Amino acid sequence: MQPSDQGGQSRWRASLTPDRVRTTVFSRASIARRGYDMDEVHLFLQRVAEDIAASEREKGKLRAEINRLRDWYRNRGHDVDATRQASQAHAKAQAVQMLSDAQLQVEAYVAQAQAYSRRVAVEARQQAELVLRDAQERADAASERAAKDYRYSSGGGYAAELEEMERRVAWLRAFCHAIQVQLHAATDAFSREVDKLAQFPDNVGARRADAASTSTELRVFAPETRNGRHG
Amino acid sequence: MDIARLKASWEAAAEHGVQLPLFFYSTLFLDNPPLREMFPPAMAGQRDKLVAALGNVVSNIDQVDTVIPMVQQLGRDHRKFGVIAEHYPAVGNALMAALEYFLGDQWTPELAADWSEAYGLVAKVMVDAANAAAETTPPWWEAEIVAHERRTLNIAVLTLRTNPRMDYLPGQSIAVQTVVRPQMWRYYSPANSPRSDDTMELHVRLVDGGAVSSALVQAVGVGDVLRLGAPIGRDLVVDHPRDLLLIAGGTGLAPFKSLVDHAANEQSRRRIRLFVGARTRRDFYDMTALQDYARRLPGLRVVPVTSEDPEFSGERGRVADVAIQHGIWPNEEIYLCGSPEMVTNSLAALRAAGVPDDRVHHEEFAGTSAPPPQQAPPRTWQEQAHV
Repeated sequence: MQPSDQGGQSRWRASLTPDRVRTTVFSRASIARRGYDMDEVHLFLQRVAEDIAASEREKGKLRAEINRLRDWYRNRGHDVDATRQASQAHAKAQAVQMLSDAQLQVEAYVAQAQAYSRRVAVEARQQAELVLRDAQERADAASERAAKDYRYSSGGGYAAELEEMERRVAWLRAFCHAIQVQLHAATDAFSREVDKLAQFPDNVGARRADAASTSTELRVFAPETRNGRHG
Repeated sequence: MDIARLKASWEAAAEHGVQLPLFFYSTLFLDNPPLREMFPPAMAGQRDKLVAALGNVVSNIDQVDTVIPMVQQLGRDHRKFGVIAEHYPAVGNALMAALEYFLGDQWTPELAADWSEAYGLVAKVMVDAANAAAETTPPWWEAEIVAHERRTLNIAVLTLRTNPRMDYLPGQSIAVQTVVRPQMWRYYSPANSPRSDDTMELHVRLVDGGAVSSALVQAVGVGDVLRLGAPIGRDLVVDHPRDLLLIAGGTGLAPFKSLVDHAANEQSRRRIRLFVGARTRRDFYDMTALQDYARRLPGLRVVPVTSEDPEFSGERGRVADVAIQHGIWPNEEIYLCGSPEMVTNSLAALRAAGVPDDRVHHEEFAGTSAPPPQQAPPRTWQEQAHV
């Protein structure tokens, strides 16, 4: 980890901000050394950043409250103009506080959305790699089989180039087939979801009739619990 | 101006961490609502940069030779955000209000006068530098996308035509903004030396969850116009005749391709060893062009290296480790570019191999091209925004 002491020669220690927590880069331990699970660490950092942001919001509110109380004690018993000025200053301080609070909320949402999209992208890539590796293994096996079959059947007419060709053709065919199967599975799943959309109005009509008679079926509108990824 | 008092007051105010810049920006926007849209929606990184920049200026305020160039660059960098001289008093007022708020009883009229004077000086240096730059360069360049190739799942190569022409040195980087992600600027290095038709090539890797990179890879296309800031950075600019060892990870290849392109144009006989790191064979997104350079340049050798591809017949391992195994590199100047993780690891590997630090070059970045604070994390394409 890079301790990023932004102050240069300054003596003060830069405090840990939510953004600094989120963007901290750890160097990867060498294979031989033991280390923590990267995803767990990232998840934890995300939590820490959120907690820091939350306590910063609270800090801001408390400070505004302290100032308001201090002003109140200072001005109590003094002339009316001073109280009016104080209340104007108080309104300004409150507006600043509200804006700061809203800003931190926005950032929490943005950070969460980014973490979510990052996770989805990482998962998708892992899945893609799995599909490719699986296809590659199947293709390797198929090309071995094809080479063996060729050697077995060629007899006296054996030629190394032909074996290699058989090998390559079988590899490509098996690889493409494996990918095709995976893509079909994905498009099938997708078209099933699309079909569900088309069925939806019928369903609602039927359910509504049901509901009129029995009113026990409650889960009419709950597609997100099936398909959604909302955590 | 009592400099010791000024520094002490800054240290006291900075103790409040995020609270200080948060209050500063809220005050600035409440008093000047139109300024809000000059900033991105999420400003967490922004606040950290403001505090870092202020801290840098304040702690160096008595070292004119350090602080003036830093502040001048800050002024030039702010042109691309549309900052003009009229904005500076508003910023000064918000800064004074924030300091007053957090310093409480320590905020005396004398201290207020010190800060007012210091801020006035800084603002003047920034405005003067911006005005001087305005005589030779525009505040930003429009760049139309004339080609957009998705080379791999994660990497796109964009060809831009800048208007007006942009002069830059191979190895420099430029800030890029798209209207799809307003007010968010990210730095990329052109992958070619300046051309007569004003086109330039950018290599963009889609960073998972990265707002700008995902837009540049997936959301923009031919005909769209990007906005570019003035070229900056000297860390990867070659200003000597010595031989080169270039170590690239992923799209960290871009500045080195620009150096190679320049060498090819000059028909240089310099020895260049370029190690190109990628995870797997599929991630080599620009090999055809590199092989073409290798044919044209007798001094150039390109070595592809994969880190996670057991089937790869070429070099395997971490790219810097492979480069170290390939030679002792007694005379070469060594340049590194890649992800922050790759740069950190490569620096450690080179150090462990006994390569002196002063021969190893990599980009250090702190949001401006001013001298960065020590130990700033190395950067290539990561998120940057204005102070």
